[in-house]
Amino acid sequence: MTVPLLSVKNLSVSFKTRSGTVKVLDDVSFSLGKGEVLGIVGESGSGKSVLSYALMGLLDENAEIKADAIEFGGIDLAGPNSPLASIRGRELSMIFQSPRTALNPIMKVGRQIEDVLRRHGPVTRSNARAAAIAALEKVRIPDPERRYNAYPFELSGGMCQRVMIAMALSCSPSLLIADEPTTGLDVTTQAVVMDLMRDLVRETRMSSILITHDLALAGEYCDRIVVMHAGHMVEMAPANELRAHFAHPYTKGLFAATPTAHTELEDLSSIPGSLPDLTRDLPSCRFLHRCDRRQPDCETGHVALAPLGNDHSVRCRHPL
Amino acid sequence: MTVSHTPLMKVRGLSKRFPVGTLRRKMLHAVDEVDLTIGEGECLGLVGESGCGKSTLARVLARLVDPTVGEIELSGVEIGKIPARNFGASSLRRDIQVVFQDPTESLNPGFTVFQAIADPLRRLVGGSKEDISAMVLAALDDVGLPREYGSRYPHQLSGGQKARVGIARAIAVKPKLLVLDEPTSALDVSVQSLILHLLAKLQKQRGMSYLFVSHDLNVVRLLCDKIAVMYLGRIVEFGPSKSVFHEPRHPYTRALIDAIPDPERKSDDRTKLEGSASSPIDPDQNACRFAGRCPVELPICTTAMPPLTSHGVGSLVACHRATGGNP
Repeated sequence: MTVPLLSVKNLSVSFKTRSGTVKVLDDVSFSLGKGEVLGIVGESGSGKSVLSYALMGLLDENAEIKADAIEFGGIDLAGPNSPLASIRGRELSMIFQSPRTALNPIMKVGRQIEDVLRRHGPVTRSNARAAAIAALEKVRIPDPERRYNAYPFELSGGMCQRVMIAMALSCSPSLLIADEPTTGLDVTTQAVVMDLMRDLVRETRMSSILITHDLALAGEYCDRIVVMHAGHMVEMAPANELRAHFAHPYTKGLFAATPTAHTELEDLSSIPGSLPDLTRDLPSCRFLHRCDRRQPDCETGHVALAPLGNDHSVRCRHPL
Repeated sequence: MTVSHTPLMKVRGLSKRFPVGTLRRKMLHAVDEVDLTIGEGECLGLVGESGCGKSTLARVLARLVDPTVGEIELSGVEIGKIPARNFGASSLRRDIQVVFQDPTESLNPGFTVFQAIADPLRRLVGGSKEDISAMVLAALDDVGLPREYGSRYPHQLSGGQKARVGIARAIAVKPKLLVLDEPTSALDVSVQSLILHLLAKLQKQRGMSYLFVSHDLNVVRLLCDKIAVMYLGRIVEFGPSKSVFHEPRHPYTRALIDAIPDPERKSDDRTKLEGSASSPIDPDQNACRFAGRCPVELPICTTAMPPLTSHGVGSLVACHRATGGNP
């Protein structure tokens, strides 16, 4: 196996709040190969966005991040001398959830792309404009010269998201993190934006992480999928393998709750209970109280993410 | 499957136009010449992209907004002519209730759950304090919320619980028609499936009619008997859910279905919709609204508006292609 582009070992994140310490992420370890698309799937509150913010170094000061290692292209991002601030936006960049709020509302979108280019790229004031227009052209925005002068409110949601993608890709990063890039967009626009992202990722052999709550979306666009629940990775497998042989009861519940073209209402089930209170002392299996396969031994000892073969691993004592 | 329902709501030639522009001389055609019938105990799904006018249509039918022209008949009574501001005080208000899109935004943060549900009951049904209290508790039971939640405020509830309060508030007055405007789009899949099951159960128990507005065809299909597909203010396809979903005849419906993420799809065999819809401001009345974006356009599409015509049992399609045979 080749050296992975990104490897995360035992990452945990907790927040100090007035009502106690919230253990948002615990024992997260994964690696991402060059050109690979990794999907991170989970309900709201599962910690998937915190994971992306932790990787980008964008968390608030009350966050306590611990990790044995976060290695990105041979650079250590976990240590005290992390060069994250200087490579963020250039080597690893991010697409945020709601494009309209992520863009500056009182600045022309072309200038916003120029800003990124001038901060990181080898462009000067004189050729920045041409580079920004080229970036808009790359994400197939029609009439890029005119759109350069547009403000975000003048563009549709799909167009704003394309501007975000143009901005994120303008410095040709080697890792792109997309945090729910199509939430709030129409299905037709979602299909166009996702196809565009897939094409660009393939063209440049970039690696990417797609964070989404939609298993079907992750299944269509990702090579490998991580399923998260209450800050734990509960299952990780190649997309096809996960769909055919999911092993964690939570993954099964997610699949059973996602309507597809063939489900009837009677087949659609839900996952009982809700996420555990993350300020409390939690059992090693955080799904314990929602699980219908619970055994007495689930409550004791440490349940770790264990390999099942076929590049598939699961955090469960009694997998399906 | 297709039981013939006695009509509850009949809509004829309904349009809603908003004046826009500096001199208010231009017209934005949000809803254009819509004919619809919702049967008693029937669930009608309304789908389309954002900006297609589905929410405006739902708001006009719920009588929150006045139509520009057209008739709306509810159980034989013409209600389209009653101004929206007077409709709230009329005895018909309790027959049509709405569940709004965002469960957080649509609850008053200063009202407890009990107050939120009691308020419409007091205004529309009336009765003694004890009667109202009994009706609120019954509504909480109906939506599966523990009675002690009555004293909680919205910020103490989860998204799914707030959605249940929104539903309890709407069904407490025993409406005949419930308008659901994207009721699950802000919820996680697991909670969404609970709410969908709840809505199906309530409809069975009460025999209410639903107008279910959503952009998610997979969700609409699960709950609805019939589906109406809207594009730029006009209904382009209408029919029983199964036939609309599995044998779409309008190219736009096909594109909507193809856009649903499907992990089993071979990547490129789908109808893709590039670009965005043309402007709803003073659109050409002699051209198909979908022309310009349609993958199977004919010359006639830019010179004549295709009428909504019948194709087999209860299916209506507005497309020149469908009239000529295969879409």
